[in-house]
Amino acid sequence: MLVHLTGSTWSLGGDLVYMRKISHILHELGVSIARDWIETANHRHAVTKVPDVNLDMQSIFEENIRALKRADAIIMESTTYSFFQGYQLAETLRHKKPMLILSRYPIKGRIFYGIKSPFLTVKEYKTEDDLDEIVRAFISAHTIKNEDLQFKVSVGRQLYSYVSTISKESGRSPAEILTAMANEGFKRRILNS
Amino acid sequence: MKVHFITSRPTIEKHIEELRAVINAIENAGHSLAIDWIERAYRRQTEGTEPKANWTAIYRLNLEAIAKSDVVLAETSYDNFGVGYQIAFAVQQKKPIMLLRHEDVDDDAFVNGVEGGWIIHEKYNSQNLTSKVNKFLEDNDIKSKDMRFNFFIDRKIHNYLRWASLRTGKTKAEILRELVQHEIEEQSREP
Repeated sequence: MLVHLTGSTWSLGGDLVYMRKISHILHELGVSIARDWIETANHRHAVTKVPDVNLDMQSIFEENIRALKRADAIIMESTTYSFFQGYQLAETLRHKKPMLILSRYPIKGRIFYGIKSPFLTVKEYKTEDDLDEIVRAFISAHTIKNEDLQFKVSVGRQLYSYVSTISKESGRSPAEILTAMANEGFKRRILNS
Repeated sequence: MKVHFITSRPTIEKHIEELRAVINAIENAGHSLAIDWIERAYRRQTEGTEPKANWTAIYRLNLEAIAKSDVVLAETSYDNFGVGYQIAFAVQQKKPIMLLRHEDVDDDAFVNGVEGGWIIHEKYNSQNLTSKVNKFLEDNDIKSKDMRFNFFIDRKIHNYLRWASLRTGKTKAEILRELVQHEIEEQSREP
């Protein structure tokens, strides 16, 4: 499983211990992180003290969006939230990917509290132990097991006849045809959302 | 045209004059705001009567405003979650967007990474703000753009359109519109 872990670089000092904890939990669970930026950003802020004005914000922006698109799920630390977190939330919902928003401040009354989506989980935490529980539950709920990727489909006589004909004409298996149809439907859903 | 104007709510009181200049430019050019929320928010902030925000309602209202707008203007000098969310939504909807940023603020902002054919970034000061807004509105005014045009086709396209029109019962214009719509959708699918 691939997860895009994101947060605010502005408040990395305060969030660092928690971001590291999330990374640690993900590694323990065998989950890969799509863009491992935390230690680099921390080194820049705390050690080399390179001002952010010298950064190529556009490429960082693009790298994050690419990471978001290839990830299976997104975890966002939002105790301090900013422009780019809002942007990434909208992009995640567009791509219909599961997202976990974490905050140490009470979530009630914060802007993302108003966004209702079946893909969105918003959780408040206080300690690293809370984080452990929340992140593990989120990953467990959204891990797609290999056996779940394969299942039997019962089709009606009409659909069977249609798929068989297309299969003979195109040389593709019925499973390939149904997968292509499902992909097409998914893309259309994203476009119309 | 309907214009949706996005700005950071917590900074309204501090920058009300610049925000008013943008609103005046929109209204003086004969356009209207999709939601006229800034003066209301300003009044509540200055009177200290701002109610607890109902984010579900605000979220829905803003997304509806973007959907019904012809263009979107955003003041992005201040890092704000809601502004980021709305801009992403407007980009997804392929609305013409002008991202305004005061020339005194630093360049280290993620908003500079937002790109697309319909998006323009503008730095402004109090002297040139109105003219920049006017130029954006003029460039995107649907009235000033050709919504109808003649075009020439060769025999092959003519035969195809006539055949498709007879077969589907649709007019040639409808078939062409569908082809263009299909092309837009195909392009949107590209990563």
